[in-house]
Amino acid sequence: MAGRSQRAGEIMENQTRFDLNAAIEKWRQELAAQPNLADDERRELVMHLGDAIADFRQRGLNDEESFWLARRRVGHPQELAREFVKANPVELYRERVFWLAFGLLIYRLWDVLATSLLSPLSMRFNPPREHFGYLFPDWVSFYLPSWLRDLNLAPIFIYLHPSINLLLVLATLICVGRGQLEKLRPIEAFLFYSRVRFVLIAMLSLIVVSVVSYLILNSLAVEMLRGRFLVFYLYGAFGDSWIIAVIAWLMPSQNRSASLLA
Amino acid sequence: MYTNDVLTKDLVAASSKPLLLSILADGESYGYEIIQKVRELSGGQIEWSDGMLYPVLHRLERDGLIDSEWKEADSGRQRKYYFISSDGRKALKTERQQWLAVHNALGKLWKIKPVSI
Repeated sequence: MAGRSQRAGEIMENQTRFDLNAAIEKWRQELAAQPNLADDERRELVMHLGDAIADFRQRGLNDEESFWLARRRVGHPQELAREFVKANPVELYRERVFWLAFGLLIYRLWDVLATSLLSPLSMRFNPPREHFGYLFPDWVSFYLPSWLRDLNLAPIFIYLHPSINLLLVLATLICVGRGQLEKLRPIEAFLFYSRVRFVLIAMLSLIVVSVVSYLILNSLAVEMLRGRFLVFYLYGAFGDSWIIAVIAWLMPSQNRSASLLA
Repeated sequence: MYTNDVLTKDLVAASSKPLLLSILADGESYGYEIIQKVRELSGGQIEWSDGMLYPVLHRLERDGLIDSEWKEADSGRQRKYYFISSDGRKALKTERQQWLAVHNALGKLWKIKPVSI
């Protein structure tokens, strides 16, 4: 009996116990939602909160008391963000334009890739083969009801390309909204390790995408496209290299001087 | 209007630069430790809000007076340490002269022994 009631007490205690890690995580997410804070600043503030909590706990306060006192001491995430902007408005805009340019580069790469990947599909819908029935061999479409066989698919293709591009934007927005961008941190650290590394990888991506686009479009039986040489595609891709220059220029200063190796 | 236990906002803002530079001149440190030290030194009279320290630190860093580096702390987590630069030491010297000039002027009025600059 005694054992059971003791266990019941333990369970009760567990249920009402304050989850310190969850509370810190929630605070961290609140902070992450502030667009005015740089990454570095966020990490520093989270570390500071952790130090303050540890300090209060050492003085004998429980988890919950320590958390709330530390939180009060560090300040509300929104107020913190305001103070940081006041201290350095230029930095804020540098970071915003940096990510804007990076978004533009990703969008361009995606756009070229999506266009060429969708082209074989679009070929199937080229007039006069724009009806649903043409997707199948004759012996199949013969059995389809006429309304389905004659369903015009051309409008779908017209909207397909823009909506594929929209998908990328949507996916990014969802990721930002759910705070999932943190998971891309290792990629970011790798890519922006130094200016040289970023420029090399970005140029390489442009070349790879152009070559893929060349291979796909050249394999299509379209007279207009067949005559084009690889140089034509590369030339198009290098038209986007100004974006790379802008990004490299706006890179966080601590990464600019880092060497490629090390 | 003036209470005697906590410094006014203007004075806190003005004194933050010489305080930070002087603390870092004694050796590298990180945000939490700096705040604790200021609290300790002033006997609680200089009350810095923790979150406001970082914008000041970052401004000093931008001005080239201090440098920073992420380093592993005892707990194994990364912590950002700040240390004073040679420009920072020069700036501290100027700050020191100016603050002591104010101190001495007030000291003459209040009949306090002057401090050599």
